[in-house]
Amino acid sequence: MLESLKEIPREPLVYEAGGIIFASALLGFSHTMRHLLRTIGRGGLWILPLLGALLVLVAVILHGYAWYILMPTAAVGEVPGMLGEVYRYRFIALLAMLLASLLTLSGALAFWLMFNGSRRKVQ
Amino acid sequence: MGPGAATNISNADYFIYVVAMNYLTIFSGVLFLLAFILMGLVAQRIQRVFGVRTSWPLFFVGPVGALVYSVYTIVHGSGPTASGEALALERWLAYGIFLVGSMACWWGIRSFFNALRALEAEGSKVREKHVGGASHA
Repeated sequence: MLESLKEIPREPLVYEAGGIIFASALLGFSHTMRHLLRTIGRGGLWILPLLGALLVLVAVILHGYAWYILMPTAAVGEVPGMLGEVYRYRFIALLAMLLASLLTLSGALAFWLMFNGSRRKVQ
Repeated sequence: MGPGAATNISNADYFIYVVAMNYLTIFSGVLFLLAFILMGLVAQRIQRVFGVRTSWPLFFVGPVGALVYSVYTIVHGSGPTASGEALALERWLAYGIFLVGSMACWWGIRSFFNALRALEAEGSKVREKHVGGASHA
């Protein structure tokens, strides 16, 4: 049991940890945006970074699956086409990351415009 | 023979799954950076106006970790073909910077949220004192 644990590559674990912390930062981003939107009397936009956080989590899970489940089989080369499968998983994970960033930015941009709009009204 | 031959996938697949996706990963890193910069600008303004500590510079620095990781995927984004001591060190560095950057983002957002909560608490105290006081008068 201990021996098999030693064989687990550690670098991807650092990525997984980073991804989980980044997803929780995005959750905080969404929560903070929700508070600020409530202050300026608007709502709803905080859903976008929340979806972004969930997609980052999906990307982290897919990355972990590719590294710890698919990669050992691909490295041995017993199953033909397994390397292509690893690439496809990586592709889906990166696509999830791209969608997460698009959602987060569009939420942040719309919020920024609203925030500036309310400042102008106050002035 | 194209670059895909080394990894036993077709050249078209190699272009979509490796080359195009690597550039799109950089693009997503830049988008995250922009999103955090916008939130950082809001935090900076709130700090300047209300004098509360929001740790806004972390919003500018934190997402750089995600960007460095994205650049790494371009340099050595070939997945299973990337191996060896030097590449392992690069991978450690890229993943490590991503982890540190994520922590900076998390800490920045936490500080900003705490500052907002402190402002809200202060606001409700003032409201209670003045609005409540005015109703008694």
